[in-house]
Amino acid sequence: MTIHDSAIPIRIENLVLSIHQRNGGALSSLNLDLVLLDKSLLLDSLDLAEVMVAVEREFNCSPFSVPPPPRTWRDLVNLIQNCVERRNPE
Amino acid sequence: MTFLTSSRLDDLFPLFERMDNEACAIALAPAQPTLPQTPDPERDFPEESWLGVTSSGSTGLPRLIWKKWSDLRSSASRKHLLLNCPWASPFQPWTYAGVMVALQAWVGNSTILSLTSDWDSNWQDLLRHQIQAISCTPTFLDLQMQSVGLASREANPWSPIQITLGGEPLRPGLGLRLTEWFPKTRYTVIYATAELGTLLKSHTLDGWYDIASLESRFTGWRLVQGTLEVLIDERWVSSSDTIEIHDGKMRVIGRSDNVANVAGSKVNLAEISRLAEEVPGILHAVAVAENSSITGQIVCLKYALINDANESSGTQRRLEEHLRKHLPKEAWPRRWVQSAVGMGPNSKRALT
Repeated sequence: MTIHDSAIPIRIENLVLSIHQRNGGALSSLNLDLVLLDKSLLLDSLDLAEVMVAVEREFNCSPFSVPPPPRTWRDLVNLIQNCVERRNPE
Repeated sequence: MTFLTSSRLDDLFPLFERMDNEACAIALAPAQPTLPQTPDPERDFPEESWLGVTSSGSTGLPRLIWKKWSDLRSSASRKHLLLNCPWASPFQPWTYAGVMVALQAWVGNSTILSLTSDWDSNWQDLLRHQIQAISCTPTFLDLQMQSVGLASREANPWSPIQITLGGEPLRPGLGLRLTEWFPKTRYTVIYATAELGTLLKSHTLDGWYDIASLESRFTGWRLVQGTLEVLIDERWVSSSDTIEIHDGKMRVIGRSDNVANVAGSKVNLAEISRLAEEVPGILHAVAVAENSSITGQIVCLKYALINDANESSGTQRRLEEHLRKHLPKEAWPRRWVQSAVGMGPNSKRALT
Protein backbone atom coordinates (compact mmCIF):
# COMPACT_ATOMS: atom_id res chain seq x y z
CA MET A 1 0.00 0.00 0.00
CA THR A 2 1.29 3.45 -0.88
CA ILE A 3 0.32 6.35 1.34
CA HIS A 4 0.88 9.82 -0.04
CA ASP A 5 2.56 12.29 2.32
CA SER A 6 -0.47 14.56 2.34
CA ALA A 7 -2.85 11.73 3.25
CA ILE A 8 -1.37 11.23 6.72
CA PRO A 9 -1.92 14.75 8.13
CA ILE A 10 -5.40 14.84 6.63
CA ARG A 11 -6.30 11.52 8.22
CA ILE A 12 -4.88 12.60 11.60
CA GLU A 13 -6.81 15.85 11.39
CA ASN A 14 -10.04 13.97 10.64
CA LEU A 15 -9.47 11.58 13.56
CA VAL A 16 -8.72 14.37 16.03
CA LEU A 17 -11.57 16.61 14.88
CA SER A 18 -14.15 13.81 15.03
CA ILE A 19 -13.29 13.18 18.71
CA HIS A 20 -12.97 16.91 19.42
CA GLN A 21 -16.46 17.53 18.00
CA ARG A 22 -17.85 14.52 19.88
CA ASN A 23 -16.54 16.17 23.05
CA GLY A 24 -18.43 19.37 22.20
CA GLY A 25 -15.68 21.26 20.37
CA ALA A 26 -16.18 23.46 17.33
CA LEU A 27 -12.74 23.52 15.67
CA SER A 28 -12.78 22.95 11.91
CA SER A 29 -9.06 22.41 11.43
CA LEU A 30 -6.14 21.02 13.41
CA ASN A 31 -2.99 23.04 14.05
CA LEU A 32 -0.35 20.32 13.83
CA ASP A 33 2.01 22.28 16.09
CA LEU A 34 -0.28 21.91 19.08
CA VAL A 35 0.83 19.45 21.78
CA LEU A 36 -1.21 16.25 21.76
CA LEU A 37 -3.35 17.16 24.75
CA ASP A 38 -3.60 20.90 24.17
CA LYS A 39 -6.59 22.26 26.09
CA SER A 40 -8.20 23.73 22.96
CA LEU A 41 -8.61 20.22 21.50
CA LEU A 42 -10.75 18.98 24.41
CA LEU A 43 -8.99 15.60 24.31
CA ASP A 44 -7.93 13.57 27.35
CA SER A 45 -5.62 10.56 27.55
CA LEU A 46 -8.54 8.20 26.84
CA ASP A 47 -9.28 10.04 23.60
CA LEU A 48 -5.58 10.02 22.73
CA ALA A 49 -5.57 6.24 23.20
CA GLU A 50 -8.45 6.03 20.72
CA VAL A 51 -6.50 8.04 18.14
CA MET A 52 -3.48 5.75 18.62
CA VAL A 53 -5.61 2.65 18.12
CA ALA A 54 -6.73 4.08 14.77
CA VAL A 55 -3.13 4.99 13.87
CA GLU A 56 -1.94 1.48 14.68
CA ARG A 57 -4.75 -0.07 12.66
CA GLU A 58 -4.49 2.20 9.61
CA PHE A 59 -0.73 2.78 9.38
CA ASN A 60 0.62 -0.24 11.26
CA CYS A 61 2.76 2.09 13.43
CA SER A 62 2.98 2.33 17.24
CA PRO A 63 4.30 5.86 17.85
CA PHE A 64 4.37 5.50 21.67
CA SER A 65 6.20 2.20 21.79
CA VAL A 66 9.62 3.65 20.94
CA PRO A 67 11.11 6.66 22.76
CA PRO A 68 10.99 9.55 22.31
CA PRO A 69 7.20 9.67 22.03
CA PRO A 70 5.53 12.34 19.91
CA ARG A 71 4.82 15.62 21.67
CA THR A 72 2.92 17.52 18.98
CA TRP A 73 0.58 16.35 16.24
CA ARG A 74 3.31 17.21 13.72
CA ASP A 75 5.69 14.89 15.61
CA LEU A 76 3.09 12.16 15.26
CA VAL A 77 2.63 12.76 11.52
CA ASN A 78 6.41 12.67 11.03
CA LEU A 79 6.73 9.44 13.02
CA ILE A 80 4.02 7.80 10.92
CA GLN A 81 5.61 9.04 7.67
CA ASN A 82 9.01 7.66 8.74
CA CYS A 83 7.42 4.38 9.72
CA VAL A 84 5.57 4.06 6.39
CA GLU A 85 8.69 5.00 4.40
CA ARG A 86 10.82 2.44 6.24
CA ARG A 87 8.28 -0.22 5.41
CA ASN A 88 7.85 0.83 1.77
CA PRO A 89 11.21 2.24 0.57
CA GLU A 90 11.02 3.80 -2.90
CA MET B 1 -20.22 6.49 60.89
CA THR B 2 -19.29 9.65 58.98
CA PHE B 3 -19.28 9.89 55.17
CA LEU B 4 -16.84 12.35 53.67
CA THR B 5 -16.58 13.49 50.08
CA SER B 6 -13.63 15.64 49.11
CA SER B 7 -11.52 16.32 46.07
CA ARG B 8 -8.34 17.42 47.87
CA LEU B 9 -5.82 15.14 49.50
CA ASP B 10 -4.94 17.66 52.22
CA ASP B 11 -8.56 17.51 53.41
CA LEU B 12 -7.56 14.13 54.86
CA PHE B 13 -5.13 15.65 57.38
CA PRO B 14 -7.85 16.74 59.89
CA LEU B 15 -9.36 13.25 59.62
CA PHE B 16 -6.03 11.66 60.43
CA GLU B 17 -5.75 13.95 63.48
CA ARG B 18 -9.23 12.99 64.59
CA MET B 19 -8.67 9.26 64.19
CA ASP B 20 -5.46 9.55 66.16
CA ASN B 21 -7.34 11.18 69.05
CA GLU B 22 -10.66 9.35 69.23
CA ALA B 23 -12.27 6.09 68.14
CA CYS B 24 -14.42 6.74 65.09
CA ALA B 25 -15.34 5.38 61.65
CA ILE B 26 -15.03 7.61 58.61
CA ALA B 27 -15.98 6.49 55.11
CA LEU B 28 -14.41 8.23 52.13
CA ALA B 29 -16.43 8.17 48.93
CA PRO B 30 -16.80 10.19 45.72
CA ALA B 31 -20.56 10.32 46.35
CA GLN B 32 -22.51 8.57 49.07
CA PRO B 33 -25.41 7.24 46.95
CA THR B 34 -23.09 5.32 44.59
CA LEU B 35 -22.02 2.89 47.31
CA PRO B 36 -23.96 -0.21 48.28
CA GLN B 37 -24.92 -1.00 51.88
CA THR B 38 -21.85 -1.41 54.00
CA PRO B 39 -21.12 -2.80 57.48
CA ASP B 40 -20.58 -0.25 60.24
CA PRO B 41 -17.33 -0.95 62.12
CA GLU B 42 -18.09 1.82 64.61
CA ARG B 43 -20.98 -0.30 65.86
CA ASP B 44 -19.15 -3.65 65.72
CA PHE B 45 -15.71 -2.48 66.95
CA PRO B 46 -16.40 0.76 68.86
CA GLU B 47 -13.06 0.88 70.62
CA GLU B 48 -11.02 1.36 67.42
CA SER B 49 -10.76 3.91 64.59
CA TRP B 50 -11.62 2.77 61.05
CA LEU B 51 -11.20 4.41 57.67
CA GLY B 52 -13.33 3.28 54.74
CA VAL B 53 -11.84 3.71 51.25
CA THR B 54 -13.73 3.31 48.01
CA SER B 55 -12.46 0.58 45.72
CA SER B 56 -13.58 -0.16 42.21
CA GLY B 57 -13.30 -3.76 43.39
CA SER B 58 -12.56 -6.95 41.56
CA THR B 59 -15.86 -6.66 39.70
CA GLY B 60 -15.40 -3.05 38.60
CA LEU B 61 -18.36 -2.03 40.81
CA PRO B 62 -17.46 0.49 43.58
CA ARG B 63 -17.51 -0.71 47.17
CA LEU B 64 -16.24 0.40 50.56
CA ILE B 65 -13.24 -1.34 52.13
CA TRP B 66 -12.69 -0.75 55.86
CA LYS B 67 -9.12 -0.37 57.11
CA LYS B 68 -8.08 -0.32 60.75
CA TRP B 69 -6.51 3.09 61.39
CA SER B 70 -3.71 1.65 63.54
CA ASP B 71 -2.68 -0.68 60.68
CA LEU B 72 -2.74 2.13 58.13
CA ARG B 73 -0.75 4.43 60.36
CA SER B 74 1.96 1.89 61.07
CA SER B 75 2.26 1.06 57.37
CA ALA B 76 3.31 4.62 56.48
CA SER B 77 6.99 4.04 55.82
CA ARG B 78 9.18 5.27 58.66
CA LYS B 79 12.32 3.64 57.34
CA HIS B 80 12.53 5.94 54.32
CA LEU B 81 10.25 8.68 55.61
CA LEU B 82 10.78 12.04 53.92
CA LEU B 83 10.42 14.69 56.61
CA ASN B 84 9.08 18.12 55.63
CA CYS B 85 9.10 17.04 51.99
CA PRO B 86 6.22 18.46 49.89
CA TRP B 87 4.26 15.72 48.11
CA ALA B 88 1.97 15.85 45.07
CA SER B 89 -0.39 13.24 43.66
CA PRO B 90 -3.34 12.90 41.26
CA PHE B 91 -4.84 10.04 43.31
CA GLN B 92 -8.31 10.82 44.66
CA PRO B 93 -8.66 11.20 48.45
CA TRP B 94 -11.30 8.45 48.70
CA THR B 95 -9.00 5.76 47.23
CA TYR B 96 -6.50 3.54 49.04
CA ALA B 97 -3.64 5.05 46.99
CA GLY B 98 -4.80 8.58 47.83
CA VAL B 99 -5.05 7.82 51.54
CA MET B 100 -1.60 6.20 51.59
CA VAL B 101 0.19 9.12 49.93
CA ALA B 102 -1.64 11.67 52.11
CA LEU B 103 -0.70 9.61 55.17
CA GLN B 104 2.93 9.55 54.08
CA ALA B 105 2.91 13.35 53.83
CA TRP B 106 1.06 13.77 57.14
CA VAL B 107 3.37 11.45 59.09
CA GLY B 108 6.34 13.27 57.53
CA ASN B 109 5.04 16.60 58.82
CA SER B 110 4.69 17.88 55.28
CA THR B 111 2.15 19.09 52.73
CA ILE B 112 0.38 17.42 49.84
CA LEU B 113 -0.86 18.94 46.60
CA SER B 114 -3.66 17.38 44.56
CA LEU B 115 -2.84 17.23 40.84
CA THR B 116 -5.39 17.22 38.01
CA SER B 117 -5.38 16.43 34.30
CA ASP B 118 -4.54 20.07 33.54
CA TRP B 119 -0.91 19.47 32.60
CA ASP B 120 0.13 23.12 32.33
CA SER B 121 -1.34 23.97 35.72
CA ASN B 122 0.25 20.87 37.28
CA TRP B 123 3.66 21.82 35.93
CA GLN B 124 3.43 25.35 37.32
CA ASP B 125 2.32 23.96 40.70
CA LEU B 126 5.13 21.40 40.82
CA LEU B 127 7.67 24.18 40.29
CA ARG B 128 5.99 26.84 42.44
CA HIS B 129 5.49 24.54 45.44
CA GLN B 130 8.93 22.96 44.98
CA ILE B 131 7.41 19.49 45.09
CA GLN B 132 10.02 16.94 46.08
CA ALA B 133 7.96 13.75 46.04
CA ILE B 134 5.20 12.53 43.73
CA SER B 135 2.97 9.48 43.85
CA CYS B 136 1.04 8.59 40.70
CA THR B 137 0.53 6.00 37.99
CA PRO B 138 3.38 5.57 35.46
CA THR B 139 1.05 6.72 32.69
CA PHE B 140 0.18 9.93 34.52
CA LEU B 141 3.83 10.92 34.95
CA ASP B 142 4.60 9.98 31.35
CA LEU B 143 1.79 12.14 29.98
CA GLN B 144 2.62 14.98 32.36
CA MET B 145 6.25 15.10 31.27
CA GLN B 146 5.43 14.67 27.58
CA SER B 147 2.98 17.56 27.72
CA VAL B 148 5.64 19.79 29.27
CA GLY B 149 8.07 19.30 26.40
CA LEU B 150 11.83 19.32 26.27
CA ALA B 151 12.28 23.10 26.11
CA SER B 152 10.24 23.74 29.26
CA ARG B 153 11.90 20.85 31.07
CA GLU B 154 15.35 22.24 30.26
CA ALA B 155 14.34 25.81 31.11
CA ASN B 156 12.76 24.78 34.42
CA PRO B 157 14.38 21.57 35.57
CA TRP B 158 12.37 19.61 38.13
CA SER B 159 14.01 16.68 39.85
CA PRO B 160 12.03 15.21 42.74
CA ILE B 161 13.77 13.27 45.49
CA GLN B 162 11.14 10.53 45.42
CA ILE B 163 8.81 9.12 42.76
CA THR B 164 6.33 6.49 43.92
CA LEU B 165 4.54 4.62 41.13
CA GLY B 166 1.51 2.35 41.39
CA GLY B 167 -1.99 1.68 40.13
CA GLU B 168 -0.98 -0.20 36.96
CA PRO B 169 1.82 -2.45 35.72
CA LEU B 170 4.97 -0.51 34.77
CA ARG B 171 6.02 -0.99 31.15
CA PRO B 172 9.83 -1.26 30.79
CA GLY B 173 9.97 1.28 27.94
CA LEU B 174 8.28 3.85 30.13
CA GLY B 175 10.68 3.00 32.94
CA LEU B 176 13.60 3.87 30.64
CA ARG B 177 12.01 7.23 29.78
CA LEU B 178 11.57 8.06 33.48
CA THR B 179 15.21 7.23 34.17
CA GLU B 180 16.26 9.62 31.42
CA TRP B 181 14.06 12.40 32.78
CA PHE B 182 14.91 11.83 36.47
CA PRO B 183 18.29 10.08 36.72
CA LYS B 184 18.95 11.05 40.35
CA THR B 185 15.51 10.30 41.79
CA ARG B 186 14.72 7.46 44.17
CA TYR B 187 11.93 5.28 42.77
CA THR B 188 9.48 3.06 44.60
CA VAL B 189 7.18 0.91 42.50
CA ILE B 190 4.23 -0.45 44.46
CA TYR B 191 1.81 -3.22 43.65
CA ALA B 192 -1.12 -2.78 46.04
CA THR B 193 -4.88 -3.21 46.17
CA ALA B 194 -7.43 -1.63 48.50
CA GLU B 195 -8.50 -5.10 49.60
CA LEU B 196 -5.03 -6.58 50.30
CA GLY B 197 -2.89 -3.51 50.96
CA THR B 198 0.67 -3.45 49.68
CA LEU B 199 1.73 -6.76 48.11
CA LEU B 200 5.02 -5.93 46.43
CA LYS B 201 7.54 -3.11 46.38
CA SER B 202 10.52 -2.53 44.14
CA HIS B 203 13.07 0.21 43.56
CA THR B 204 13.84 -0.79 39.96
CA LEU B 205 11.93 0.34 36.86
CA ASP B 206 11.93 -2.86 34.83
CA GLY B 207 8.47 -3.96 36.03
CA TRP B 208 9.86 -6.87 38.12
CA TYR B 209 9.64 -7.33 41.91
CA ASP B 210 11.74 -9.53 44.21
CA ILE B 211 9.61 -12.37 45.54
CA ALA B 212 11.21 -11.67 48.94
CA SER B 213 9.22 -8.43 48.99
CA LEU B 214 5.99 -10.46 48.99
CA GLU B 215 7.28 -12.98 51.51
CA SER B 216 8.13 -10.20 53.97
CA ARG B 217 4.47 -9.14 54.06
CA PHE B 218 2.54 -12.42 53.90
CA THR B 219 3.02 -15.78 55.60
CA GLY B 220 2.17 -17.60 52.39
CA TRP B 221 1.53 -17.12 48.69
CA ARG B 222 0.76 -19.30 45.70
CA LEU B 223 -0.21 -19.11 42.05
CA VAL B 224 -3.50 -20.67 41.01
CA GLN B 225 -3.71 -20.90 37.22
CA GLY B 226 -1.34 -17.94 37.07
CA THR B 227 -3.31 -15.79 39.52
CA LEU B 228 -1.57 -14.64 42.72
CA GLU B 229 -3.16 -15.62 46.02
CA VAL B 230 -1.87 -14.63 49.47
CA LEU B 231 -2.52 -16.14 52.89
CA ILE B 232 -4.34 -13.78 55.27
CA ASP B 233 -5.62 -15.04 58.64
CA GLU B 234 -5.18 -18.64 57.42
CA ARG B 235 -7.37 -17.92 54.37
CA TRP B 236 -6.26 -17.76 50.73
CA VAL B 237 -7.27 -14.45 49.15
CA SER B 238 -6.97 -13.84 45.39
CA SER B 239 -5.33 -10.71 44.02
CA SER B 240 -7.26 -11.27 40.75
CA ASP B 241 -4.02 -10.47 38.88
CA THR B 242 -2.04 -12.77 36.62
CA ILE B 243 1.63 -13.03 37.65
CA GLU B 244 4.72 -14.17 35.78
CA ILE B 245 7.68 -15.60 37.72
CA HIS B 246 11.27 -15.73 36.47
CA ASP B 247 14.57 -16.14 38.28
CA GLY B 248 13.33 -15.28 41.78
CA LYS B 249 11.31 -12.31 40.60
CA MET B 250 7.68 -11.74 39.68
CA ARG B 251 5.83 -9.22 37.57
CA VAL B 252 2.17 -8.38 37.12
CA ILE B 253 0.82 -9.20 33.67
CA GLY B 254 -2.75 -7.92 34.13
CA ARG B 255 -6.18 -8.75 35.45
CA SER B 256 -7.17 -12.42 35.60
CA ASP B 257 -10.87 -11.70 35.85
CA ASN B 258 -13.21 -9.98 33.48
CA VAL B 259 -11.96 -6.51 34.39
CA ALA B 260 -9.81 -4.06 32.42
CA ASN B 261 -7.59 -1.44 34.02
CA VAL B 262 -8.03 1.68 31.89
CA ALA B 263 -5.93 4.64 33.03
CA GLY B 264 -6.10 3.33 36.60
CA SER B 265 -9.87 2.75 36.60
CA LYS B 266 -11.30 -0.77 36.79
CA VAL B 267 -13.76 -1.44 34.00
CA ASN B 268 -16.26 -4.28 34.14
CA LEU B 269 -16.04 -5.96 30.72
CA ALA B 270 -19.11 -8.17 31.26
CA GLU B 271 -21.21 -5.04 31.85
CA ILE B 272 -20.05 -3.57 28.52
CA SER B 273 -20.86 -6.81 26.68
CA ARG B 274 -24.30 -6.92 28.28
CA LEU B 275 -25.07 -3.29 27.37
CA ALA B 276 -23.87 -3.84 23.79
CA GLU B 277 -26.23 -6.77 23.35
CA GLU B 278 -29.16 -4.51 24.32
CA VAL B 279 -28.78 -2.65 21.02
CA PRO B 280 -31.20 -3.83 18.30
CA GLY B 281 -29.31 -5.58 15.52
CA ILE B 282 -26.51 -6.91 17.77
CA LEU B 283 -26.42 -10.71 17.86
CA HIS B 284 -23.50 -11.15 20.23
CA ALA B 285 -20.86 -8.88 21.80
CA VAL B 286 -17.73 -9.48 23.83
CA ALA B 287 -15.67 -6.72 25.43
CA VAL B 288 -11.99 -7.53 25.95
CA ALA B 289 -9.03 -5.62 27.34
CA GLU B 290 -6.17 -4.69 25.03
CA ASN B 291 -2.83 -3.14 25.95
CA SER B 292 -2.37 0.58 25.28
CA SER B 293 0.82 2.60 25.56
CA ILE B 294 -1.28 5.62 26.60
CA THR B 295 -3.69 4.28 29.21
CA GLY B 296 -2.30 0.85 30.17
CA GLN B 297 -5.33 -0.91 28.70
CA ILE B 298 -8.29 -0.02 26.51
CA VAL B 299 -11.58 -1.75 25.84
CA CYS B 300 -12.03 -3.47 22.49
CA LEU B 301 -15.55 -4.55 21.56
CA LYS B 302 -16.00 -7.51 19.26
CA TYR B 303 -19.55 -7.81 18.00
CA ALA B 304 -21.63 -9.70 15.49
CA LEU B 305 -24.73 -8.37 13.73
CA ILE B 306 -27.98 -10.28 13.46
CA ASN B 307 -27.91 -9.70 9.72
CA ASP B 308 -24.31 -9.04 8.65
CA ALA B 309 -25.21 -7.53 5.30
CA ASN B 310 -27.81 -5.01 6.40
CA GLU B 311 -26.93 -1.53 7.57
CA SER B 312 -23.80 -2.40 9.54
CA SER B 313 -22.58 1.22 9.74
CA GLY B 314 -25.89 2.39 11.19
CA THR B 315 -25.87 -0.39 13.77
CA GLN B 316 -22.32 0.44 14.84
CA ARG B 317 -23.27 4.11 15.19
CA ARG B 318 -26.24 3.19 17.41
CA LEU B 319 -24.02 0.82 19.38
CA GLU B 320 -21.43 3.55 20.01
CA GLU B 321 -24.11 6.05 21.04
CA HIS B 322 -25.75 3.55 23.41
CA LEU B 323 -22.52 2.66 25.16
CA ARG B 324 -21.35 6.28 25.44
CA LYS B 325 -24.69 7.18 26.98
CA HIS B 326 -24.62 4.43 29.62
CA LEU B 327 -20.94 3.95 30.46
CA PRO B 328 -18.27 6.14 32.07
CA LYS B 329 -15.74 7.46 29.60
CA GLU B 330 -12.96 5.05 30.57
CA ALA B 331 -15.27 2.12 29.70
CA TRP B 332 -16.06 3.30 26.18
CA PRO B 333 -14.69 0.85 23.61
CA ARG B 334 -11.84 2.45 21.68
CA ARG B 335 -11.52 -0.34 19.13
CA TRP B 336 -14.44 -1.92 17.30
CA VAL B 337 -14.21 -5.27 15.58
CA GLN B 338 -17.12 -6.67 13.62
CA SER B 339 -16.90 -10.46 13.67
CA ALA B 340 -18.91 -13.53 12.85
CA VAL B 341 -20.32 -15.91 15.44
CA GLY B 342 -18.88 -19.41 15.46
CA MET B 343 -18.53 -22.29 17.88
CA GLY B 344 -15.89 -21.93 20.56
CA PRO B 345 -13.73 -24.80 21.83
CA ASN B 346 -16.17 -25.40 24.71
CA SER B 347 -19.06 -25.62 22.23
CA LYS B 348 -20.42 -22.29 23.38
CA ARG B 349 -20.95 -19.63 20.76
CA ALA B 350 -17.95 -17.38 20.34
CA LEU B 351 -16.89 -14.51 18.16
CA THR B 352 -14.36 -15.55 15.55
